[in-house]
Amino acid sequence: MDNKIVLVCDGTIDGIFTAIFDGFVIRNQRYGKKGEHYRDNIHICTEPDYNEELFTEYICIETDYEKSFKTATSIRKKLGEEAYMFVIGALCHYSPDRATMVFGFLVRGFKTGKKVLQMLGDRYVICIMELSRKTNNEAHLFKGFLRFKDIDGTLYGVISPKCDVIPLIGDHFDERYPNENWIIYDKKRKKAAIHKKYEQWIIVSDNNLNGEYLETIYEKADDYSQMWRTFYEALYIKERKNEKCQNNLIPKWYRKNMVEFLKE
Amino acid sequence: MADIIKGYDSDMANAVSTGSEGTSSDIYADAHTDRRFKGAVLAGDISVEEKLRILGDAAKYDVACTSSGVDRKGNGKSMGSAQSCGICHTFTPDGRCISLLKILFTNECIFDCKYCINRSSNDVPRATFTPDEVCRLTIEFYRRNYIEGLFFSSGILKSPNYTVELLYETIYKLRREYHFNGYIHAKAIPGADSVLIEQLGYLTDRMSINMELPTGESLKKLAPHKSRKSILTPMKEIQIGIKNNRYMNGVYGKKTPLYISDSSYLEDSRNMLMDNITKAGYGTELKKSQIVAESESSELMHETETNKPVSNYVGTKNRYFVPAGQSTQMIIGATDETDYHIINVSEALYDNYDLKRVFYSAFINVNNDTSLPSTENGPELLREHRLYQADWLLRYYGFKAGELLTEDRPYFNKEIDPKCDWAVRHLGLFPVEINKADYYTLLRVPGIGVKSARRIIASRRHSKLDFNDIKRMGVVLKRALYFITCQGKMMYDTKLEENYITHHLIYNERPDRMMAAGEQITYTQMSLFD
Repeated sequence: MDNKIVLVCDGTIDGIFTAIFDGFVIRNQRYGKKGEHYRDNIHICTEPDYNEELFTEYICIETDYEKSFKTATSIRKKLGEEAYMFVIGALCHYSPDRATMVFGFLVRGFKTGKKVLQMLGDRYVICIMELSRKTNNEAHLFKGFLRFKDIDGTLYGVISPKCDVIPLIGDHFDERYPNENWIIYDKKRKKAAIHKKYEQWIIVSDNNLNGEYLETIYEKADDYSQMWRTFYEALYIKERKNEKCQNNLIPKWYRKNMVEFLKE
Repeated sequence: MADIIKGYDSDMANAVSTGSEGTSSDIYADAHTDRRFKGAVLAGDISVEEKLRILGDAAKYDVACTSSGVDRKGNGKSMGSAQSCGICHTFTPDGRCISLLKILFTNECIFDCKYCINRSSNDVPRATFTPDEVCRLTIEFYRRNYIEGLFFSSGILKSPNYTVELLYETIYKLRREYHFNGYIHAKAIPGADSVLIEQLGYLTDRMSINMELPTGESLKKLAPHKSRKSILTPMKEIQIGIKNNRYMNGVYGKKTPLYISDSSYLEDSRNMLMDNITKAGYGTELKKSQIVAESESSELMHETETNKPVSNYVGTKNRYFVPAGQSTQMIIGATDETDYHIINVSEALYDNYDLKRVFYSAFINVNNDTSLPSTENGPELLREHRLYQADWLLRYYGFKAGELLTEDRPYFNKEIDPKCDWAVRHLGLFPVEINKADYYTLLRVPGIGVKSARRIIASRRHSKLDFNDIKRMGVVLKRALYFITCQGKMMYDTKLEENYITHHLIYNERPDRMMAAGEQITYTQMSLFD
């Protein structure tokens, strides 16, 4: 049994792509030219504080945008756009194993080519599909559950999602509101998608963003909130009450920032 | 005046026949005078919020709130887009989704349908929007991402044509003046002119006309101002319009299948399944069901054939006519049709009118009308649920209505769902081998759905599958394990016997109910060791 190797990187997509690039380099150096003796013992850790284990080699990875770009292009070229979207989806999930799973998937993928997407019997393949499906499901729900407030003509939306959905929902809102200035702020990750009228939307993260200021602005009132609440209450049919069904369809943690569930 | 109102209250049809012998438009005008009188007492200056409350409340019994069926990218200039999967924006405490701003233009109505809260004989607060109010509400709600678009229906004001003109004016404004590019679902009003319906169709994504009740007789009894003909004629016209428009613009918004794109394979698979069913000795049942289905269709078609649709839409290039298709709705439990009758009507609608969806709405006696069944113990939600399950089987699983129910067994099983019910009655076809069975045969197995069947077919080319693999693909093993083998083996040592499987299936779903029912249940006692 080969010793476990752990590559430690920051949790961003660029960081993980760099680690994947270095992971392949290590595999090819140590386990035969094409990695034929490799037995899935390279792991990628995305947490900054981890517990060290015995008989394990730890390697720190510095995020390198050039390496990250190379990984991305080779995934798109060799496995196609569909597989690339699966990988991005899986990496936006919050699971601590996501990077390891993607690495395992790519090891198989680069060996077999595009057919890898049909090897659903394989643990790594089905796992990244599952992760990506979960992320996309959450992103899909937030496309509906996100609420904007119109404050002085700009639309502010605050969410606290479990998965990192901002990269996945930005395009949707870009298409929907090309003629509006809008900001979607992720409270948990302290990052935001910002869109200026008729321009390309961008992601701004932690250091360049005044999150507290955004949250205080979001406290302001919006005239249409009350109107929407009235409509929401009017649509409820009491004879059909079924809160269990409602909880299944919109679990309570989604409701934190939705006007119809907030009492004023 | 009081006399007239009284007359209308008890039975509008009588009042009309004893009144002036005018043309139909005279009748509508008369009825409107009556309404205006009533309205004057109640209507004052009411705020938009109050109108929203009244007209949202009045619209809530309409089931459809879907925003699906059409993919439209934003145009980069104005607001709005649509996704073919649809997006739910919130859910009410009754578990129904709110996706569209579902409102009536007005709840003043000259019709007197017995089941409807807005019938002309009811004394409820009435209100009417102006077109601009509706547009502004839609735009402002849409900007805040509250809604996916507008669901626009209306009570009948003055006459069907007058009402549709108002709907058209509003939607035209919304599209052309407010530049709204989102989803719009409009109701076609039975009895409106086909030219108006066509114009409305070019501005909307989906249109619907409610069937209301499964048979013509019930309709006559409960909705005296509507007839099968006035409902089916516009439905046929919209269908023709959609078809012609597809010829003009090509198939649009059609979803691509997940893995199987070879339609000839699906055809083969379907035939193979039918052969198997016949071979296993269920052939006569199948044939009987086909005959019934044909008679139901011909009955439905008869209504429109005696009165050929006048319009023949040709369409214009790049102007889409009802791109998300049309839907309809039936009330369940207000009259005494059986489930068997209802799903046969649905099937005929799917086959002959190319409907996207048929919605079912469990009847609620909102008017406390004593001539209708009481719903004091709550509406028949389980029955509605079973009908929806069966509806899915018709649309995606290749079932025929006659396979699910028969004339001797006209209601769905309360304990297990229609697919399990079918499977335990056709054990001759099981067990099915996961690594060999064709697509439609896999779909017949309880616990296997469209997605998992497609995943199984795609991945078994690469390796032999066993129970763990198919579990990961999304097969619900607690239902499927009685009906399948993987590489020749069943998962546990289960018996292929009707009572045994039924019992276990019920126990899986509702252990509590099984315990409560105790000895009343006729199935044999469960034992973990048999």
